[in-house]
Amino acid sequence: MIENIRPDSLEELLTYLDQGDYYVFAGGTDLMIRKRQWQGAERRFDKAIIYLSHLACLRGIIETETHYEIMACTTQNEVAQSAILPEYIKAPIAQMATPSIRNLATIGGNVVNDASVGDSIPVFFALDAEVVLRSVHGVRRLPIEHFIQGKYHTALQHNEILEKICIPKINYDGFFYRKTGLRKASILSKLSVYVLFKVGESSMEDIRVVVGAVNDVPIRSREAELQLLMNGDVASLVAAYKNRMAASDDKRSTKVYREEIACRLIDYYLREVM
Amino acid sequence: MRITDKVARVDTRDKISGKTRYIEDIAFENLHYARTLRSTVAKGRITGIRYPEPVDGIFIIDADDVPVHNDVAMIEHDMPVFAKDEVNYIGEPIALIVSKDKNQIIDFMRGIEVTYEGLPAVFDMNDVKEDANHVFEDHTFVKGSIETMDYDEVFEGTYRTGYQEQLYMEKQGVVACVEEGVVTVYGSMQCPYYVKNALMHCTGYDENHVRVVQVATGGAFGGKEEYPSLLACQVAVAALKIRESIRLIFDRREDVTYTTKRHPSEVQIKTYLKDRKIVGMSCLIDLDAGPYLGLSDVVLQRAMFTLTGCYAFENVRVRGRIVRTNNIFTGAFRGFGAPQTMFALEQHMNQLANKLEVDAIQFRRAYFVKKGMITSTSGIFNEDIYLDLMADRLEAFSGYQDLKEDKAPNTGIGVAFVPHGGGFTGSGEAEHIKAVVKLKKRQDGKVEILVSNVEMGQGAKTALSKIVASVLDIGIKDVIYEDPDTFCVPDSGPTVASRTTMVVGNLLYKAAEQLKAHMKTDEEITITEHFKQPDYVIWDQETMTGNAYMAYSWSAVLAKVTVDPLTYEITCTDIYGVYDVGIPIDEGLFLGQVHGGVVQGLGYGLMEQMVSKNGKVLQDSFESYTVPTASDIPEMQAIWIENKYVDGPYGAKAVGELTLVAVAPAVASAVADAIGKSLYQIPVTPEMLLEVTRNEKR
Repeated sequence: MIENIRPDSLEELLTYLDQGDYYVFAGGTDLMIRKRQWQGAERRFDKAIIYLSHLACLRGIIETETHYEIMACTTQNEVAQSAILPEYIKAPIAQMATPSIRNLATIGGNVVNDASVGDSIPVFFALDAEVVLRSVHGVRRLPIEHFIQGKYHTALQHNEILEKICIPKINYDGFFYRKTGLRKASILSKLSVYVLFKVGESSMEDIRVVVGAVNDVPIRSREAELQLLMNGDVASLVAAYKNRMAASDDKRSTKVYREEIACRLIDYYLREVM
Repeated sequence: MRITDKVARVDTRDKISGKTRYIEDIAFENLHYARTLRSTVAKGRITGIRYPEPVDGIFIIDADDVPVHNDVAMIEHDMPVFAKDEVNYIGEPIALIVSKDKNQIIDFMRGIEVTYEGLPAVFDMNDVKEDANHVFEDHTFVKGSIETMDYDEVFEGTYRTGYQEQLYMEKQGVVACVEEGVVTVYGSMQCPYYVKNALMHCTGYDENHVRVVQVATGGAFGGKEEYPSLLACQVAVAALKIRESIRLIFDRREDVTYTTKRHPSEVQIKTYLKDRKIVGMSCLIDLDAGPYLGLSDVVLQRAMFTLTGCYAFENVRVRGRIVRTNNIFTGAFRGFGAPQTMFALEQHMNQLANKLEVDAIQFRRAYFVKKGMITSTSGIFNEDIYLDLMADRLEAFSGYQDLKEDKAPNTGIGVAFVPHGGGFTGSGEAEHIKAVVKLKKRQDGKVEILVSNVEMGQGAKTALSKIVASVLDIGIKDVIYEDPDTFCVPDSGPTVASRTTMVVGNLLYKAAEQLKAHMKTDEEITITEHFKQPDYVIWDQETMTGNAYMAYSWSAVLAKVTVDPLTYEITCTDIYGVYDVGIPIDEGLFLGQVHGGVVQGLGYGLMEQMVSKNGKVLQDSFESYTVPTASDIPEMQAIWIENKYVDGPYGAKAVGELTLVAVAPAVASAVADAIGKSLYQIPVTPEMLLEVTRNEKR
């Protein structure tokens, strides 16, 4: 039998996590598939499961003067439909998975799971988001780029949970988001490109470029972004990003396609706005 | 009722309300579950199987438990029920592990160790196709003479297609029980009598002690033609050993990875021209059968007999080979060989039209077959054929000339014209199938259809019931058509080859005509009708000459696509289809087949990439094996011409497979048109387009 724990409070959850080793179950949409053995048989959980999505304090979206704070167990659909969040956050999330998955899957789950095809992560990279991690011993606040350490590998400690994602509000004039997959809906990314920009009085004031699903972790080069703002040389930025790409061939696409198309999309978008 | 009345499908209400019981929903007493122990190597000798210590409640069923023949009776007997001594593909069944408790089975299986001595395996048919030891069958037929004809130009192309998975919604599933000396297999299947024959051969039980009951079948597309025979034998052997009900239902990944697929193909076409006119064509078709023959020879023959498509050429030579490899076992799939060769031919015809700088439709018209002409197998086209009219209709209703003249950048159009022969090849219906149907008027006035053909989502129950109800002028509700049980129904043949409406429907039509006279009486009466081959079907299987099919259905399809200039992502925006299926039995059913065929053909042409690496398919789940979603489906418009077929019920001909076949070649040609390059392979992917254009630049 599988042991299931449904804590009544955040404190209780954190205490359990501090004292034992658990599968932390939020939406469960990925975990339940990964642990599947045979339809109708038990899933292969070799340790107990602890649930957290029912805790109200871990759900919802808060707007402060400076930030949007998305609590970790907010579903992807709640994010996509939010009345608070701006379109540049909602649009990419709305293209993830399928409606039924988005109704269950949480935004925190997508970040903590940290698949290379996790489509929310590039958005948080572009927005300089920070993650708030909580354990019984206290709170850590990390930039998302430090939290995401590799494919399926984050800085989360076993006794911590991701409590929320804090996204600084920014001035922006427009964004582009494009994901390509094997079909038009209900599909994992072959690659994605996310560009966010702010036009100043005479020239471009802020620009962010993130490439998702090509490498194990999203690609963002602040240096190349700054260079672009200074010299307006799109080709150099594309070359800098291309230089960092290390895609591979797999059942969804090829290295050549992923890298070439990502570069083309960046080039196309930037030339549109520069 | 009248045949022209519109009807609601007779199975819809129960299906959408959840009342229909599929094999997984049916309760059996003391049910035991079975899970398959599979080979992990593509070719090898089994040197040992080490099972964990015996556990109460766990049973192992393997080759040693098979009562008589450890092989599955199909056309040949080359596929074992359970691999003994050697394995020939990854996933080949070695044993069933059976228990009442699924978790117990999983725990037990974790402790099983099979050791192999690996043998050299073949994964690319091109490596061995010239080696007779690796070629199951090698056929050639000839019309005229390629050797002596006069020509001044040759146009060549080599075309490749990949695997396609049927992806029926309901996975493979069977249950076997033994009661009072009778082995009964219930299951999701297309061909109850194929299963019955396989069971008799394997168990040695006679026909009175083997019973097969088809239960509601959630899609099949050919995937449940031959494959359920293997599973039925396995569960029957298990049931005979432990004398309990045994259920074997695949998981989705298991189903996608290990069950039959459409044959990957390579087709070389050489067209000979004289003064820019085609005077001859020679073709070589190679199909990857995997390790066993299965139905591959029949698939190959349809591929060959369809190869010249809608065209009559004076001189033809067609050679086809089935190559044995250690890839996954391939088999029946809607279209049955024709999707491969029609992709090749229609792509070739469009490329040739481009080369000659003539319009693709105009180019074809010169070669369209007509009544009385000689077929590629030297038979005679007996029925009226209106391909010119269909071409006119296609041009008119798609706005063809405007589409050509006002072509926006990054858009393309492509056409394909495709025939489909209804029923079994040659004299197969008369010599092998020998269909028998029964129609029983009961005392309560209701009329029962007794056939072995199954409803698998295609609408057979509605179509056949409608035929009978219309002849007898009774309500469709007064026609009873239960799922076939071989103890109750005669063998009217398998539910394959687009034969159900045309062949079985016609037998029921005739039976109903005879029953008419008895409708006023109270007596119970059963009419039996046997298939008789029409006089005009003359076929010599030895030389492969004569009428390859009783009658052909025809399709003319135009596809419109856009190609994203940045990402090469392809969107098929519109499909226009003109069909000649004789006279459709029911408009709604016909359009259902068209829509389903278009979507399945679109997947074949654009997205359903399935690649085998060292004998194992990489795309093994919904996540990576991508069929079209609602967002990918184009606007579909279909019209049809009426062309009554004399030996079809109310003039109907074949529909089911035809609707899939022309879609992939039309779509691929449209993509080629959009990017201005020739394409030789499906599925056409953005990755392929990138490669084609990059090669150009170098």
